[in-house]
This record gives sequence, structure tokens and C-alpha cells, in this order.
Amino acid sequence: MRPDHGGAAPVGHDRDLATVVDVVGPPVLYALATDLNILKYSDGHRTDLNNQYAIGAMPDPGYIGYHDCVYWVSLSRTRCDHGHIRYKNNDLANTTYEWALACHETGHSVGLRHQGTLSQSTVRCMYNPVPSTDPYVGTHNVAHINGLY
Amino acid sequence: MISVLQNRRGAAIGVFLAAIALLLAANAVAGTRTGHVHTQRKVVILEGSEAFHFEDLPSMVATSTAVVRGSVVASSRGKVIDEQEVAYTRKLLDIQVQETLAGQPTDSHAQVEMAGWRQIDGEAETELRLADGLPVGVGDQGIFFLYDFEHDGRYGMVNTQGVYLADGAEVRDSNRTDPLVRKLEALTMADLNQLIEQAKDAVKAGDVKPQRYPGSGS
Repeated sequence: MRPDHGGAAPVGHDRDLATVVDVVGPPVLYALATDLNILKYSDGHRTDLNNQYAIGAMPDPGYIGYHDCVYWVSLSRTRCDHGHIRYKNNDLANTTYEWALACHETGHSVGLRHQGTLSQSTVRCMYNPVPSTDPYVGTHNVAHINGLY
Repeated sequence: MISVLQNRRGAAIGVFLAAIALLLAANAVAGTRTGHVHTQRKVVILEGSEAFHFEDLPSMVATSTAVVRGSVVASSRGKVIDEQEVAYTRKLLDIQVQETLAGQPTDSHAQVEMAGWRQIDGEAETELRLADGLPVGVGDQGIFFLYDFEHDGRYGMVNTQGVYLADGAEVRDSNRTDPLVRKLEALTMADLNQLIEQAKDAVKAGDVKPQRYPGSGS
């Protein structure tokens, strides 16, 4: 079951991702993660994200979600062209934990990594390899996403 | 003179052909198709979320189904997870258990699955590793924190923090960055064993609780 987006306005394909995330938070982040061709780089390339919510085994049994970039924009492999986000459970119930998981995997899809050496307050849902109950990206990550896109 | 020129021309043609061949080879390795670049590499690192993450050893001991000291005596292909154009094959390790240090008793051999390989669109397989994970293969000896994720007779490592390989009497120093891993890899195997023993006592006394599996899963 998809969570209620809380009446958030649809996200235009060419809008600034980080600004969008910063303003409206997890519901729109979820929308970004579920729609295709939603993220556009300044040079015109797009990141396609294919979300799968089916119950199933993970590539490693200890994982509960992952992002895997299948094709990259260039050999530098800093920007994903087409990738998959997949969760172990079949629903993203509207709980902060599951929002945090969606935030975390979507963060990977737009170039963020685990950042446990930085202040938790600046990297929030990307702090550790396990999601917290914090479903927001931090200021450090917003700056990184804006820099990449 | 003519002979020298011909030799030079021949050499130049040779260099040109070699350059073309190198370009073609590079393109094949990159796997360029339809304008984007394949992730084909020798090793692919998978970024994601783990079910557990630990700040301290007692919590990891409490959460693990079993903590064992043993040796990897065989490695084979495990479950295949086929997802659209990507197929993942887990690596299945056969760990000969010398001692169960904590948790539930295990058989003399523990079957353990972990990330193994990834294949895109039927092309050549690539080794798959988890971010900040430690590759494990036949001949490795160490302490393994196991978790019964799928209730099918096969364990997984409790997380990427849950593997400590021996380097003689020391814990092998890997390149993992996690603070708890860094701390434990500075120990000797005997010291790690002793800390696990102490943690086991704390768990038995009810001073340390296991982490709960997240979400609505197993």
C-alpha cells in the first residue's frame, strides 16, 4: 500500500531535487523514489529509478534494502543513469522507520554514502548502514545532491 | 633509406592498429550500450541498509543467533535472486565450527550465505560485495556472528560488523571503517574471545538485550 503523500504537489521533472526534499520532506522523497525519469542533471542526463516492493530475498541475507546502479552516466561512476531500489518488505507503511529506509536508499541512488564519521545532524538518514527513525536528508546531503545535479 | 622509411611507416601503422585495438578493448570492458555505461567491473560494491547495526560488542553478541569460531572449508553458489535484468547469486560458505562461543548451539558445520556475484543481462558475472564488508573465502579462520534470517537452515552474517578473521594470534586488520570493527580488529583473537565470553555472561544476566529485527519481516 502506498502511503498518503499528504497532498504534496506533484514534482516537476526539472525541479531542484534538494530544494524539493528540503521543503517538503519524506512524502515527496517517496514520490521521487517511485517515479521514473524524475531526476535531471544539469547536462540533461536523467536518473531512472525502478522501485520494487515485493517480498523477496536480498543479495545478502542481512540486507533489508539496497540501491544498485545498473548503468552509469559515465565511466567516473558518480552519477547513476538507471538503477533499482529494492526493499525486503512489500509495503512502505507510513511509519518514520520505513520513511527513513526509503530516505536512505533514495539517498544512495543520488550518490550519497553511509556517513557515520560525520555529525548525525548533518547527514541524518544516511548516518549509518541501518536506517534510524529519521526520515530526512541532512544539510550536508542536500548540498551534495545539489552539487551533483 | 627506403628500408628505414618503410620500417618507420610499418611501426607507425602498428602503433595505430594497437591504439584502435586498445580503444575497442576498453569499450568492451566498459560495456557501453545505448548511450550509458555498464557497471561491469571486477568487484561491484552494493550500498544498502542492514537489518542491524551495533555500537558495542555485547549488543552484537545478544542479537546474533550464534557466535562461532571456525574455518571456511568450502565455498559454492547459493540462492539466486533474479530481478529483471539483474541476477544476484549468493556465496554459500561451509564453516567448520570449532567452538560455539555464544548463542544457540550449532552443528559441526554451519552453512552461511553472503553476497556473491551479480550478472546483468546474461553478461559475465561480477563479484559482489557489501559496502564496508569483508570478503570471506575458503581457508579463512575466525569468529563469525551468525543470524538465522530466513529460517531455512542457512545463516547469514549478522551484518558487515560480524566477521573477524584471524591473522595468526591477531585479529586480521581489514580496511573496514566502522568504529566498532576498528576497535575489535585491534585485539588479539584471545582477547576477542574473552570479550565475547564476558558479553555472553551479561546477556545471560539480562543486562544486554538483543536488537529487534526491523519492520514487519522475519
